[in-house]
Amino acid sequence: MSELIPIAGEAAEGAEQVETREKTVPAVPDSMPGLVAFLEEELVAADCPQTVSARLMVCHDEIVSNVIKFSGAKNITVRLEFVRASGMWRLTFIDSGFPWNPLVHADPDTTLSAEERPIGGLGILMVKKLMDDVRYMRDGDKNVLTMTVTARTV
Amino acid sequence: MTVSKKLDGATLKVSLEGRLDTLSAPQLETEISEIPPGVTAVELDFANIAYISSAGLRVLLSTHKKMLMGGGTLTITNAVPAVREVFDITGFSGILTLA
Repeated sequence: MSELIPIAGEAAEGAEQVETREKTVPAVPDSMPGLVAFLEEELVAADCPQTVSARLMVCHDEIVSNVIKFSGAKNITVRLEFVRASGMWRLTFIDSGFPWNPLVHADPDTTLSAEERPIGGLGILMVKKLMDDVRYMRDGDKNVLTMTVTARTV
Repeated sequence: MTVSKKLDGATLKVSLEGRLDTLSAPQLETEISEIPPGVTAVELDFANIAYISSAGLRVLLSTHKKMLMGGGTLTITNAVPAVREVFDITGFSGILTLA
């Protein structure tokens, strides 16, 4: 994970503490409500601003639903990291499914009219636009997708 | 998500509360899949929708197309900033009628 942008203060010898919450569940549809509840509760407990929380929840929905539907993974891990003082929020999704880099696909055309628009295909575009930084890496047999947003940019 | 519907003349007014995501989108799709005869306008009140993901957008687009085909309209009212932001970045602001 060394190539990630450090959360502000992360490298400053603990000047600002990075807090971490994590949940691992089977990558099946029945796991979705529990994951949503987990993330919502942690964001509320951490006093995450509503504007940031909404972005994180949307991205969480996009990625987890994709992993559950298409990855073939047995489990998925959702990790939330944040620094309260600097307002940096990071979500990491780890799954053991087929290699899948969502960032290499072309974005859908958002200028098409209603009649021309295909239904769907917008999820990854939304993640890229709502987060400040999104990175993918294949770590052994795992997909690791990390996204970061700062409260100041929202 | 909580859904409440009210028929006001030729307008079907639907108030939503909660989140519009993978979990709740099928519920909305079911709730508005059958538009009563004579209804030419559907209004979705988004005042209490905290956020919307692409699953929710899919339902809005399919409903919008369905209304257009029948000569009717779909209007989204009172969308909060987080929802408007999603409409903007996906180009839905140029497709949907927002009020």
